[in-house]
Amino acid sequence: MSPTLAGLIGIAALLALLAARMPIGIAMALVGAIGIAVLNSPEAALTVLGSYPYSYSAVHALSVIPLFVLMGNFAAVSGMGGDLYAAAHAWVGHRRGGLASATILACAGFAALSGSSVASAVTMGRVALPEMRRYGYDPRLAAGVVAAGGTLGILIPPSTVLIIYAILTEQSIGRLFLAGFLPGLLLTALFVLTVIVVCWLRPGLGPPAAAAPLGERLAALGRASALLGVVIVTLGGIYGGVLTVTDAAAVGAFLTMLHALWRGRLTLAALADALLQTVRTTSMVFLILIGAHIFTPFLALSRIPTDLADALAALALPAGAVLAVILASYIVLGMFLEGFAMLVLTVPIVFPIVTALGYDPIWFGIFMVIVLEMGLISPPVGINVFVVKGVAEGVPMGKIFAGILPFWVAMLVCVLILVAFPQIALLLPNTMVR
Amino acid sequence: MFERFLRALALGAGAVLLALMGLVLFDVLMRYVLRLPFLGAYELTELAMVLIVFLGLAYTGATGGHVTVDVFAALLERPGLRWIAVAVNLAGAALLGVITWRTLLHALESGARGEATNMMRIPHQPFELVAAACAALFAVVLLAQAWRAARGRAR
Repeated sequence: MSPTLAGLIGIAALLALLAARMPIGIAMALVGAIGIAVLNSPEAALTVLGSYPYSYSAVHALSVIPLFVLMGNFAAVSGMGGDLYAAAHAWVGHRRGGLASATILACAGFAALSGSSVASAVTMGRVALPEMRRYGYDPRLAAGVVAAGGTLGILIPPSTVLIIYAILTEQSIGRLFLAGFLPGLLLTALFVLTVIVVCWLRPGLGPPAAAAPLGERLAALGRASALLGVVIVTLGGIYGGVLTVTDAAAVGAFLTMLHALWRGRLTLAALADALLQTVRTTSMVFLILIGAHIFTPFLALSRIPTDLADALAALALPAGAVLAVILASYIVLGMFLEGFAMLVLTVPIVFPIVTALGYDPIWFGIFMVIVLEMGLISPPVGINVFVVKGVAEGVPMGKIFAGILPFWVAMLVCVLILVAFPQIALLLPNTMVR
Repeated sequence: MFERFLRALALGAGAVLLALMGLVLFDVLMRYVLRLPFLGAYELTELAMVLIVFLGLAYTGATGGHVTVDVFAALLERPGLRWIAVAVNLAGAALLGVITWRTLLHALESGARGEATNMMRIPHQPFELVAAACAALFAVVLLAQAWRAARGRAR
């Protein structure tokens, strides 16, 4: 069997297994191992299965995954999400659509502690949705901001998706984190702008809430400032070259744990729950990583990625055209695949093409994360939409998607701005202290 | 009963994670306060990662935490298509069975060669054995899920 044919059969088999709901990591490992057995030797495949699961878990750099996930879970326990929302509410709530903007801002703040979109959407949804209902916000707008705001979780560092991209493409986790920061602020601003425009066009969607006196505003800001401390220490530590990413993750997890203890929220049951959630997320991510590490060598043996990159190079298309095709494919794929799946399945094929075109690998990571986020909130299977649906009972799916649409457009605008001005992503990583 | 055992293992993984957090903090303090880097931190982190990943694997599987693509979820729940869920779980169990077997072989070889970490000379074998045992537990979870799917009680 020719390597190309074997590779194509392998990809088809993988897609079939995924459609049959086999866990992504198991499907990739299964197809990868069989593929290696065919293209190399059964002995090689067995060696891979006996050593990779262990050796790709025992990796020092990957300890940032459970530590950052733990930080996000401690932050959820400590009620930092609620504090953030209260502060944003106090400052912008009295404006038209202000509670929606407050939700976006609180999501952005929470994203600096949490690397997961789902966790951000759940945490902020529980806090913000009841409040917006109380002030008579249109359910479409309310559901839309929570679903869209939650996606900031994987763009603003820390980010599990960026860590996995870094591992798959052998890039620096610290540089990718810093690269996500300014685009994260840009997307936050675009989301707020979207709220303002939507509420200006349809003033009934987001009626203003009561204005808070200055003293109350300052007090709310004070309660939310714990977050600022954690972000300055972790991201600042990485940028200043004082802390490695692992150090920053452990220090951040410890600080949020202290905060939860200080607020009296870290009961034994809450601690056990935070630990179990963290372990679950970690195992989930590592099963996928292990699967990807078994599948990618098979794909490389089939030579499909390099052949594809060569074929594209021979066509001599302008780089922008190839990027547009990639963007369009991701938007279509995002309608059906979950973010992690899309990442691990497409990076081995797309990454060689993109780097051959001369795009910066760090920049492409950020580009990819925003495009994945668009998939998280697009019909029919956007995962954040289901999360919001779970919190906002009684709002039909159609209305949630209608509410999301303007934010989806804002993300597309953000991607186009990043293509036009790659410096937005590359400024911080290129100036960090090493 | 079995699920409670898996939950206890996952909590064990959580305890190791808390210890890892403490270890990294200790290392940072030693480096900046006493200017004495703790040379064993690197390899202890690696070994801790093995425990965190593997001890939680079966619990995550049993509680539906491993990501699947759910585009055809509604379709696959039809009684006529139940066999697909059975087959998928059995194939997964078979893969985990092979991983268990080969990891066990690997552990026996590494024990015979006396492989250990560089600085603290901690043997790798116990950790490889834990990995193999946890892979076996995950295989059992997948078998149980195949059984449940066959009887039409998939989650």
